[in-house]
Amino acid sequence: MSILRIENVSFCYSPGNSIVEDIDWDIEAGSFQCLLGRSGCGKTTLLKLVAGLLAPKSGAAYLQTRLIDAPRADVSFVFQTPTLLAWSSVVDNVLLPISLHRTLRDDDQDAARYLLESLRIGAYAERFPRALSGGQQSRVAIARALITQPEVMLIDEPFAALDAITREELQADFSLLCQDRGTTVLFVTHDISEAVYLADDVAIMEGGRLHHTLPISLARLRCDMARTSTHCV
Amino acid sequence: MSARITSFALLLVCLGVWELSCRLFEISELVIPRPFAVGVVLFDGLSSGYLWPHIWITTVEMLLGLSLGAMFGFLSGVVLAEYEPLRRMLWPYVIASQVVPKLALGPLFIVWFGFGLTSTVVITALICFFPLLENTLTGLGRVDPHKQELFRMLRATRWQTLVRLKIPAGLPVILAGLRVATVLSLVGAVVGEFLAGQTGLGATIIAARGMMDSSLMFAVFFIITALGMCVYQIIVFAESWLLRHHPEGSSL
Repeated sequence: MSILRIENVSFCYSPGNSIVEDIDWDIEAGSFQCLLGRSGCGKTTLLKLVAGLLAPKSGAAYLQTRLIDAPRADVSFVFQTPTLLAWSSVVDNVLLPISLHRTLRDDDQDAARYLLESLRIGAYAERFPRALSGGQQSRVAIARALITQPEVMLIDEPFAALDAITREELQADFSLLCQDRGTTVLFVTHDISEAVYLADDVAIMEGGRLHHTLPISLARLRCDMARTSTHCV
Repeated sequence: MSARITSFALLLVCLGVWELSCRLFEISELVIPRPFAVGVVLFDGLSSGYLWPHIWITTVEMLLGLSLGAMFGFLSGVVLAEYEPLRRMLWPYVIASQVVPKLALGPLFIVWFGFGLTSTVVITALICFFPLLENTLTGLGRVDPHKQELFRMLRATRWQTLVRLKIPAGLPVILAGLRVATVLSLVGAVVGEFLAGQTGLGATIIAARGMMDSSLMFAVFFIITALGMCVYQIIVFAESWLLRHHPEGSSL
């Protein structure tokens, strides 16, 4: 059952200079899709088109048969940089998507703290972003994206700036959380091993076009061994 | 700590040099009074209660002018930052009005508002208006585009984006403008009194000039300085409290 349908989507800032061209993609509910490609191939633009942050010049994207023409409540986005609000505490940052639309309740606070615990930064709930490392801020950004229990998560190279050890920890924690919630994930990366570790399918993008899709035959919730197994290598 | 001791020592050295120079070069008391003479006048003025009403009036003018000017400057800055067409239309006038020395408008205000408190407060408010307008415009215009995109993604309304993102993000720059306005507000109050005042520290300086009382003039300079430093420190403390969670550096 495809939850996300991208039909013939194209985008350019000026005519003749297309960033994304004729993208056709059906994404199954609950699946983890990685979008892989070199820098500048249009991956982030495609993600923003699906998010509703940009409007396609031709074609359209549909979430559960409804047209995506603006950001939606059931779609979350994790940006390349954590973009936390420095003047709010960690837990207030996590609750931002909710506090913008209604008054907070006790169970919202509980949900936020539970997410922070799952991402192993529960102890930092009352601290401020200034006191957190890059990896910790990325975790807060992920918690913020998950607090609304979205149907679809769009992730744009969130671990690119982190060291290898932190990246691997975050990949494992994040994969577990999404699997638990059955969230559909569209994850953009330029790191091949990250894509293979996390995804059900890896889509290769080149020059604004979707080249092809590779299914990954490893079972989900891959353990650390899977990173170095022959399949990955 | 040692920096404070050396600063204080420097003050004592300066006072010593001042006293010695006056004695050595036999400078007339009218031109530069001796520190001791100034100290005596200062003590007498404060203890006899002569200076307190003047200190009060100037403080009131300063704080009133600062509050009004800062508030209108900030609000105007917000409006111009949010409405691009309005800003483009009014921008040449904003620049033109910045160039005009506000104190030169003093006599005009005397015609409109008469001598006394009102004219001085209006002059002070006008002086404090522009640093806040300028800095609010700058602060709100420099918000991190990634955060603006985040707020778009979270479907925040324009008002929410202004109040929960732009203003907190621009606060370091806006408060820097407030610090500048604080310093200028004292100038505005005192010089406004030169032009339009009947009471207050500026008016006392004019009166002292009339009586050729340099010691009183210097004593009042000292009080003005102390007043300015007090209010400035309060603003600095308020700023560091408001920005206690902001990262170092003004860009967010």
